[in-house]
Amino acid sequence: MTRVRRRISFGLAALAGAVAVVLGAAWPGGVAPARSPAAVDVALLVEQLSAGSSRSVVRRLERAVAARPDARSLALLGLGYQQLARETGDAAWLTRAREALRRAAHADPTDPVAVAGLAQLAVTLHRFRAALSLARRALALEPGNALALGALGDAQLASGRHADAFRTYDRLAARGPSVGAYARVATARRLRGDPAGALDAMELALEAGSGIPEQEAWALARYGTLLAGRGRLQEAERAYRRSLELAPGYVHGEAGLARVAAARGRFAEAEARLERVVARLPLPEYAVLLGDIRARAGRAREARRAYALVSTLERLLEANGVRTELATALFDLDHGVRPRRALARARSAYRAAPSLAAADAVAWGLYRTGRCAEARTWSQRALALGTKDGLFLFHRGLIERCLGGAAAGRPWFRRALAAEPTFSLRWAPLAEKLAS
Amino acid sequence: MRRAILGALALTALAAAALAAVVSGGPRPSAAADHVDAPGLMPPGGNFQLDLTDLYAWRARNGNTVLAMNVNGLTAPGKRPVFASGVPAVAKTKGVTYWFRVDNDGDAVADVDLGVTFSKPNASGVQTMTVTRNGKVILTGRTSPGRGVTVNRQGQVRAYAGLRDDPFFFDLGGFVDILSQEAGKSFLGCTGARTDFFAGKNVSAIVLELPPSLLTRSGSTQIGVWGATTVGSRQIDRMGRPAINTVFIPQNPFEKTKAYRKNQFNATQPKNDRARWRSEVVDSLQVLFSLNDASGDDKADDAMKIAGLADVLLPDVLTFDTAKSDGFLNGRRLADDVIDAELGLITEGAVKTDCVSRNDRRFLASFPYVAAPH
Repeated sequence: MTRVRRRISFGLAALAGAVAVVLGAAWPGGVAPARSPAAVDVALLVEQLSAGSSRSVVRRLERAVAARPDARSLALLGLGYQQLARETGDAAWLTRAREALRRAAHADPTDPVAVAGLAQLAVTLHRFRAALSLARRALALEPGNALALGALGDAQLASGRHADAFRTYDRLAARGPSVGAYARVATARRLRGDPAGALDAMELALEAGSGIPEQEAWALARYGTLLAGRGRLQEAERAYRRSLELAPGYVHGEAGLARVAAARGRFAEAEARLERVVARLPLPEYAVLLGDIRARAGRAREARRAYALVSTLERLLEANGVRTELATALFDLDHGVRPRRALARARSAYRAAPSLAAADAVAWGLYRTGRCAEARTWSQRALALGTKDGLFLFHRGLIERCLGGAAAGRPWFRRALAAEPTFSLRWAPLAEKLAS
Repeated sequence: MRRAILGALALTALAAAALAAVVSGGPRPSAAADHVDAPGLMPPGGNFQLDLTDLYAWRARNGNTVLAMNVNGLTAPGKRPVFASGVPAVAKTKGVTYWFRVDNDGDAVADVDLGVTFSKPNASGVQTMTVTRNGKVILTGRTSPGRGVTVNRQGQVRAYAGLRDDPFFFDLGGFVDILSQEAGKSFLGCTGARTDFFAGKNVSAIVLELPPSLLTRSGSTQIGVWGATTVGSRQIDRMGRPAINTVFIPQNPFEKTKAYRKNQFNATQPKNDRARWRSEVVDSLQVLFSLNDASGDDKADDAMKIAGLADVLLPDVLTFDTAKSDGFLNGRRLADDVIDAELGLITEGAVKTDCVSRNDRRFLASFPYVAAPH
């Protein structure tokens, strides 16, 4: 008889470690099971977050730290804070997460939970080199640590080391089903130019479930976005609505419905929804979308107000340690703001993390500054994996058009629209015009 | 959640919220996301969907054979777990199959493979199920994710898959602490009722009822059954009799310092059990047989008894004569107190019971037999 330990842990903390040892759970991937208290402790945290409110879980962790501020208690508290940051959008939690994790790593530099937590945080801040080395350290401390594998794969992907990233994601997915693991497989498949496979992996992520309501809401919103990209708006809308049912007011679900409304030409609805989103969670890209919708509706002044918010937000992110060059460069290039400076930023972003997106941004910057031949080389780099990304393909279309005339661009615009018919509120109409 | 207001304070709040937004990730409107925003917090590993908790084989009133296996152990009431349809890798998704493997000539090699596969769940959680016999589809049907029961029929074959009460009953806590000297921790020597660890918990059950002729070879009524789960061609789990891996393969409460080998056991085949796992079983039995040494047991015959018992326990196959009256060790009925039966066997009668003797729910008199979920 074999029984999984994961579900036993809740309410049976005293037993959990012992049970883990006894039960011959099915551990795909040949991963040694949770003999280590690290995995048992993380299992308990996941279980508690699934069963109760994250705030009360965090309060409990805070009491534990107050009673005994050891490395593990601090590290778990750090993870709890990270979860609260995801759920509430209140970054007071994030700052506390950073503090708790640093204190944890200081108290015990060999605690895998603390080091993996810091790796995850580094990914969040777009500090991919730091993320790589932290994740590797965590994995040396605890082979197969899920947090560390996720952070490692993310950092590899962002650093343009796709083959390594895919191997890491495979390892992660083979450990067992989870939203975090399977959603990463979906991302990898999308980059490989396999959008149907990406949808399949996201469906399996939904099937795997998470237990943590916010994670399931996230997965539904992500699934909706993959569907919307493929032009399957009705299904996308259903996924976003289910996401909102699971987590009422969830911004990514709401933003998704705004995208669907915009794609259907219902700009007033899209704008109203995005205003709610931006008021609640001022993420730059949602502010960009809000501006684009207003611009599309012919309201240039209000659009500019949304765009002004974008640069403020990005400066503030930077002040808090997040690298934003790439996002800033793309925004400036899209909106014709100082393209030479934007190109320099794109190059700098590529030097820091040579991802496909960064390569595409350099290509886009070169095109916008009139250097079409160089731009093609960079676009080839961005599309090297065969990614069916509407925006990448659209950029390539403009580059080919610049080099070879309207006929040379046309197939690329068609490809962009075939891949993702609603890839950009701003650029899709132009792609449609140039495709015919 | 925070509305931006004027002033430095507000800007700080805004920055904080924006920073959190990066953490919270979420789907990017543009495909050009430069990193993945998937959640970091994941369960530490293990796959409860593929993790067999129990296997049963018994005789229905009409003489048919009932085979049942459970997965998704320790599911809390209110949760609606599904059967796995596939496991994705970046290159492709590998299909998941739940197997009843049936040996009908005593060599611990399957002669009849009953495979059960599932589709992804629809919006209401219902999955289609397909049952094959040696590769040929013999039944298609639907799962029962909630309290309602869908009985799928095709010819004389009946199939059910869905949420049920966990029929297993056992004082797991008392087993984990079996060698503890602390009063009340171990179930050794218990007289009053102890706690059924699995009471109030659900599982996902797969129940098949079919004429024994689909399982036996002509001229014989005997079979040996084990359950297995596979991802592509890789075997993730397998079990025949209850608790063989749990009790005998390290680590276990008697061999806390040995290397963990339960994964390897799950990945191997019954036909190799005696060659690969006999010494582990013997090691555990030696500890268990020593439990009654203090009470004057004659140790002289222990080695011989242990050797004989090891050959009964391995290969890990649930043997069942489909024509004889059922009940552990001839097959296994839902109500059989297999723990008590095994305890007596493996401790030379020194331990007779864990003082948990029945399930917390009554079983059904008819298909699918396993009790309704909590």
